[in-house]
Amino acid sequence: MGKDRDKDKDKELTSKNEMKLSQEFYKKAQELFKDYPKRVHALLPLLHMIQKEQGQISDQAMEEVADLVDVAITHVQGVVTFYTMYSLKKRAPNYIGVCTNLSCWLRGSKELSQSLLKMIDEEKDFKGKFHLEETECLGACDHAPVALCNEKYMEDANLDDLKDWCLAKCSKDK
Amino acid sequence: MIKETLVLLKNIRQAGYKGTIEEYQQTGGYSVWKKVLKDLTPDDVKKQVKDSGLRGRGGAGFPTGFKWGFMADVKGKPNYLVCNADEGEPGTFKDRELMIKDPHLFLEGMLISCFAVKCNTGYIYVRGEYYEAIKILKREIAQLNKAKFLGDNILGSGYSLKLVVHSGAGAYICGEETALLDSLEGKRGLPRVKPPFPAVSGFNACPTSVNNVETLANVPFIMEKGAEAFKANGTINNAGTRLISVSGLVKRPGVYEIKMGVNLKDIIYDFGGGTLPNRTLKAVIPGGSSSPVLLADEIDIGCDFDCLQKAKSMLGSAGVVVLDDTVDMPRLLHRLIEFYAHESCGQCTPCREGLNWIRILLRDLLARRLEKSWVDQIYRIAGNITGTTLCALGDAGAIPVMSFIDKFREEFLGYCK
Repeated sequence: MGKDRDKDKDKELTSKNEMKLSQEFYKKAQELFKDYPKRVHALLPLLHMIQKEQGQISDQAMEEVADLVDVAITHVQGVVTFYTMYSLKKRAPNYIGVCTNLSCWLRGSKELSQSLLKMIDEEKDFKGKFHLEETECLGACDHAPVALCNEKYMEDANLDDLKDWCLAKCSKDK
Repeated sequence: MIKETLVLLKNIRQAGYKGTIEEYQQTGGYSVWKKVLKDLTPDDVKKQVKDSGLRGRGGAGFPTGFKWGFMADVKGKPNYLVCNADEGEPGTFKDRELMIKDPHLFLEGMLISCFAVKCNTGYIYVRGEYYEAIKILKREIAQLNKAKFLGDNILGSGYSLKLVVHSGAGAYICGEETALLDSLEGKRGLPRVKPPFPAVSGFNACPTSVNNVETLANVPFIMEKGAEAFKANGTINNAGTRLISVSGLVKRPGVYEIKMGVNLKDIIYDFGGGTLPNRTLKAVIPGGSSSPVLLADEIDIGCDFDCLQKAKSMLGSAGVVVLDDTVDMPRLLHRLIEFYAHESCGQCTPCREGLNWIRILLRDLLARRLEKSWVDQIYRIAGNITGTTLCALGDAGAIPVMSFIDKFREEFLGYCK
């Protein structure tokens, strides 16, 4: 029993260590602070860096950031859970956001997003590689439907092109 | 056949224009900035912008010159200019077009405007999903620093300015100026109680002006050609050109630049190319998703702040969304309300609870679970949201509910038991 508990603790410690923010992060943070009157003003860009680096904002990261900008941990938690671009749980490495607001909805984006979800579920190679989300207006309504594929917009998106993009990502990973 | 009046899209409409600093300078770019630094005082710039009658292009249409005029000079507190590039109003995509395709036009406007309000650090708050615009702006700002149009003691004028690009993180509410300021301060984006207005206590409790991308992009023209030339494009009280984002079920969606006051019907047919083949026009949302919907026979009106207000709608962000006879209005409204209910920041009860009630009721309606009396009940809930919240998001969600039911009541009743 006691041994098991020690094991759990070890596990917890390793995962904590894995989530530690990198030296690089701390260096970049110092640069960011120069742009704002107070450190806490840089909180959003800091969290973006963490989300990109770790695919999530873990408890460990929130605590470290709270120390870094000197605000309550609850403040950081509040911010992380308020904005949709941050996530507490680890996201799959590739992001696809399909806009389902007004103009895209009118051009069939809801159906597109549902077929995409199905395709990603069924295709065995895609498992665990793609984080799919329905987003609100992405501001490219003249090319509806629009999908945000990692950091690039796919305009006039359709299932075939999205599948090709996914396949390209998979072959790159190999 | 109407034509575009090209002020803001002048360069973008040139074939092959890439928006680099060299290209922009070849078209005369940054000559106004040099002139302003050399010959003018901040008050000169403020006066000229005020005289031009420029009104904010983000949605509310507040006169920019007045906004700047309200900024208090407080000893020991720096002034800030924050550009609102958090474009998120469904059906609006003009700011992205400007930032990506002609960033220097907007940046020159930003420089001159920062000078006008005596700001030494300007922030550009870009929505997080605009990765491309963020990358371009950062790159081009570096170019500006290299060209010495930005930095310490710019061109020997004694004026120093730094520009910072700040990325949002996915919250529609941050387009509201005080929520944007909270977000820029590293907080959740919650609209503030006003007063105090940002002009008195904005970013970091200092005097701040928050202006939209398109608004700022107009400033170089005003400073180059004068207030009268700016007014000549437009109608009384509605000076200048306006970028109209046309989308939805039309043949040629896109951003078009018009003199204010141009007929909405002409915009949809001449620029947008009209409805898709074998469809008929049903309705038009004229100013972003929160503006009241217009019926097909109501669109023969001028496109400016006042005409649309007279037609009981609004120009808002000028996001024109075209709907045809295939559109199921209750379903469309349900999608819109899902959006507003999700984006409510949660501070004010009428907005947080009311929009969610409407969302749930519309879902039930679409599942044909409601009796006819519920349509009026939905309408009443919306009526109880308007005017009862800190910011305009509650109204933005409630207004389409009321206008959709007013104009398409039969469709809603058709879903009832």
